[in-house]
Amino acid sequence: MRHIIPETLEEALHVIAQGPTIKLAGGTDIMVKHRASQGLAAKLRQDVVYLLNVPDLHYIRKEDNGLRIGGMVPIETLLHHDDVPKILRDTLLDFASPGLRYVATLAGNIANASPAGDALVTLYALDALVRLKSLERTRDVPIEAVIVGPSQTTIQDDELIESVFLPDASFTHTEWRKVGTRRADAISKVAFTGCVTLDNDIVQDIRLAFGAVFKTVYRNRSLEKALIGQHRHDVVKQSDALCEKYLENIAPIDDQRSNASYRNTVTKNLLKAFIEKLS
Amino acid sequence: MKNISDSIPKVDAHEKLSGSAKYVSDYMLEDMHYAKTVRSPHAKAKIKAIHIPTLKPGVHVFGAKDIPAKNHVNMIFDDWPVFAEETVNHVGEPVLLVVAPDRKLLKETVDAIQVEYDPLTPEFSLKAFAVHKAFKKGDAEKAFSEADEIIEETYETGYQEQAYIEPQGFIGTYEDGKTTLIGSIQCPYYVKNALLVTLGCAENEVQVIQAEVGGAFGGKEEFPSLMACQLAIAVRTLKKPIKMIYEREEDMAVTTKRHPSKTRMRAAIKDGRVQAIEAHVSLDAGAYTGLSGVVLSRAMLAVSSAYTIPNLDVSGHAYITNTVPNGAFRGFGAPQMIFAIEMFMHHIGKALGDDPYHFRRKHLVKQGDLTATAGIYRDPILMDKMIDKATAMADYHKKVHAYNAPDVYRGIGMSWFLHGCGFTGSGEAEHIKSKVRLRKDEANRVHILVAAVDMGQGAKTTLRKVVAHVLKLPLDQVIFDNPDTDRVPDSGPTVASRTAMIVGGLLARAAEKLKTSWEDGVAYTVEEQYKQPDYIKWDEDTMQGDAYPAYSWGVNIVEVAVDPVTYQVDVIGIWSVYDVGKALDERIIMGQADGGQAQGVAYGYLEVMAHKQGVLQHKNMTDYIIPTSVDMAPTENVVIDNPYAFGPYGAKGAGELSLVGGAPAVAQAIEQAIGKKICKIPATPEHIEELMRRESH
Ligand SMILES: Cc1cc2nc3c(=O)[nH]c(=O)nc-3n(C[C@H](O)[C@H](O)[C@H](O)COP(=O)(O)OP(=O)(O)OC[C@H]3O[C@@H](n4cnc5c(N)ncnc54)[C@H](O)[C@@H]3O)c2cc1C
Repeated sequence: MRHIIPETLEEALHVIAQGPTIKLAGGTDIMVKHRASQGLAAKLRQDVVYLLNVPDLHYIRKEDNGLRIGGMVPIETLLHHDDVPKILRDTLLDFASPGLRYVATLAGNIANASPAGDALVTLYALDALVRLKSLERTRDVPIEAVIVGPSQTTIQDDELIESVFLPDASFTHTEWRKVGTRRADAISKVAFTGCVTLDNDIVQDIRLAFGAVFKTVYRNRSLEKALIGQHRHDVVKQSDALCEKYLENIAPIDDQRSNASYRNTVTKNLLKAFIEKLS
Repeated sequence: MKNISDSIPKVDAHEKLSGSAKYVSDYMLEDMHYAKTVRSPHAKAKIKAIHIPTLKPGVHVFGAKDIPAKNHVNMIFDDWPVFAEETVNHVGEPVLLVVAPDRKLLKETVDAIQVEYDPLTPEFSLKAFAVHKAFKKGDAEKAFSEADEIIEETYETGYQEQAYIEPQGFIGTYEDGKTTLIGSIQCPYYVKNALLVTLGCAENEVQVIQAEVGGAFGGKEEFPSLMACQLAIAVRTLKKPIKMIYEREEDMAVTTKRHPSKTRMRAAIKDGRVQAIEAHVSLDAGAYTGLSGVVLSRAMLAVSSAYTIPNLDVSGHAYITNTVPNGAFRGFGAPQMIFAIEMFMHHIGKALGDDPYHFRRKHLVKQGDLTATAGIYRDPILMDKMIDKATAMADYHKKVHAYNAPDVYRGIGMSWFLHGCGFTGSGEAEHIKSKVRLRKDEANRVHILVAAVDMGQGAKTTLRKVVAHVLKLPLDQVIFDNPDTDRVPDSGPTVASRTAMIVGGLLARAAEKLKTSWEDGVAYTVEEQYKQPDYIKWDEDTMQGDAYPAYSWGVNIVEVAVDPVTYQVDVIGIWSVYDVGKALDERIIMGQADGGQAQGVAYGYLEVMAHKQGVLQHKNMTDYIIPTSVDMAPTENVVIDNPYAFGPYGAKGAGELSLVGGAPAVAQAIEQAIGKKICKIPATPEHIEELMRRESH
């Protein structure tokens, strides 16, 4: 087992091209997952590639049609950056605690693929595209095609998350709600991001994403699509029916943090409250 | 002379903040070995066979067969084995202790040992009791037969984990025939006495030293004795230093917690007053009785809390289940009962259509009233003044009215409570017999020789202040080193809100003695021993008389907002007034107030622990949720003077008081905010969701 600290992206890509490695960003998931018992070194069984300080991955850049965020930008930096959409900043403000945020990254949150990953909920709502890079190729993949289940992604061994692209979007109203076990430093029991764009009272765009109630973040584009073009009052009228449809599709669990009944009810309440704001 | 209450910097603040304080895990000794426990994965099973692989050099395994004398942890009940012998009775029960020269080898050996079990059917419900207690006051039967109305409720409370910052740990050393245990402990002499019983050795063959303690909350009262006995067996055999520090997960899985409880209460009402209460409390003791009987007593004794109820019929059981043993935790049974009685009085007031506040106030204790066990409240009780003060600070009356309106989702709750100071009943006089010494050296420095432990609560600061004040010496002339049983007499355990009042009281008396006999430049020692005030009478068998020499009093008001969408509870404000006799240091009391309230309020709405088939589901600090600073509200705390004749400068107990009333105050606030009756804590968002759903159907 080797510890490798690449100085450039190029170098990092060469290292990961040689076979399976542990790609370590802030380590806030990895070090917990690989913790050994008292006094013993972490159980890292593959070569570890330290990505956090690779300068090439530390940028925030406006591009045509959107914002590109380097994979290793710490959450805390995003929180204070004016170009980062407000809904994402709102989300990140509820993320862990300040200490954690200085090292934790978006790339880590994505690759960790937890159904309760907070940033993911909003990245789903923002139609984020994840740029996966290997020596051979670069692919821009919609986030829902990157994450396929708890801890499961389509990222290949020779690929890393180079950046995340957020297509431009402007909303009339956005909302982020984290329902954690407490008010700080907590894992979400339910999380919700809602974004809506109205034009002359007609819904132009609506995005509804839910965390911690399904095997991945849950977003249903066909249900959203059905609302587009409708008058906001008509949408409000359907709120109960809409909630029911979401409840039929999500699959919350009982665990030590909460239970399915609570997660169902709160999902419904959050959605209903968001929709009713359109009235 | 300065007022003793004036705050000084805590004497241990610098070493703790700078990192120089030495905790047990900081000890690094030559040729140090490590120890780890092999534990039962079953809630109940027969041990069929133990297969120990060929051990690498330097690795050793110890178990029940290596115990020189008694295989039980010396406590009030002697049913708790040091190592399981034939059966295991809870998940995590220790079967063997492995010692190895390094941690890697240690882990490998623990993993390689195979214990064969025959699983038996475990019991998780409250069926078999180990302790039963009962007492009566007046004639409850008569009151029930004459009642206009009878009201009944059942109240439930869950586990609570102490969640001290520093997990449990010891290091044991051996020199010249003596086994020394240095540990994170509250009660050096409990540990020593347990060692004497298990090792069957002479007094001078064991020594117990307190390392710096990173929090305890009762969790380091009896449990450390178990670890110490196991470790001492290994140390005496191998004659090498051995360290055993629990990891957080191990600590949470196997150490004692607050007893879950169920309390059924019935009240006989006549003429708008509670004439009698019949109460039955059931505690889940876990697999072994340990201290559960005493916890049960304290719960039962708190039955009428700050009210005077003329007739009582009180009983309780501590049940054995195949779960981790429960034990001491700040409040010691009182939080469970005070939750029940405070909610019950509130609920009765509402049921009678009376304003619960006025209803409760009609029943408030007055000086001279009889206690639950027909003792006498001899000392002045300032609760009227305290309630007025607290309600004014919180703007309680205005808020409680405003929040009755529908759909505001705000609530305010208030609890009134007492806490008996010191050991229950005749414990201080008959069991503890506390002894303290002051040694004066040639340089005229005075050394405090007591077994009291500073676990963060400030005992080092306050006890030094007491002695320095009496002797009119500068603080640095008064020395207080961590207790070492070879050096200090048994001044009793650091528990039961007794240290400032009882140990401090004895030290003040010893200091007076020293002052009268003071000889410059001469070294000598003075001693004091506890004597119960003559008027205190207690009958342990009938539970009649003065259960405590003195009581501290408190009022908590908690305001919350409940989110109608997520049912999350936001604690907005906490206001409290306390009577602890006299603050020996204002800031330390404020620290106790803030910390105790946080722990008590969180017990009521936030902290969840549960087991499934005997396996605790909340395994670490990610799962077990304690409040962060963001969760806690601004607090306003006031301490009023009400000096107690036998406490130093009038001080009474202060360590537990601030915890015991938190849960009912927050539960009442939540109850008002959601308009649903709360009979169970913690009142989590999940529980609130259930209450809301139940009624809306
Ligand atoms: C105390 C605490 C509180 C927390 N609170 C929250 C919270 O509130 N909300 C929340 O969502 N999460 C929380 N987390 C989880 C964690 O902090 C986040 O998931 C964080 O985003 C992980 O980022 P990281 O940089 O530390 O990832 P790491 O731990 O370094 O890596 C996580 C995963 O991503 C992979 N990875 C990292 N970088 C790349 C890359 N460039 N390309 C491909 N794969 C990569 C790693 O191999 C690993 O599988 C918390 C964790 C802790 C310890």
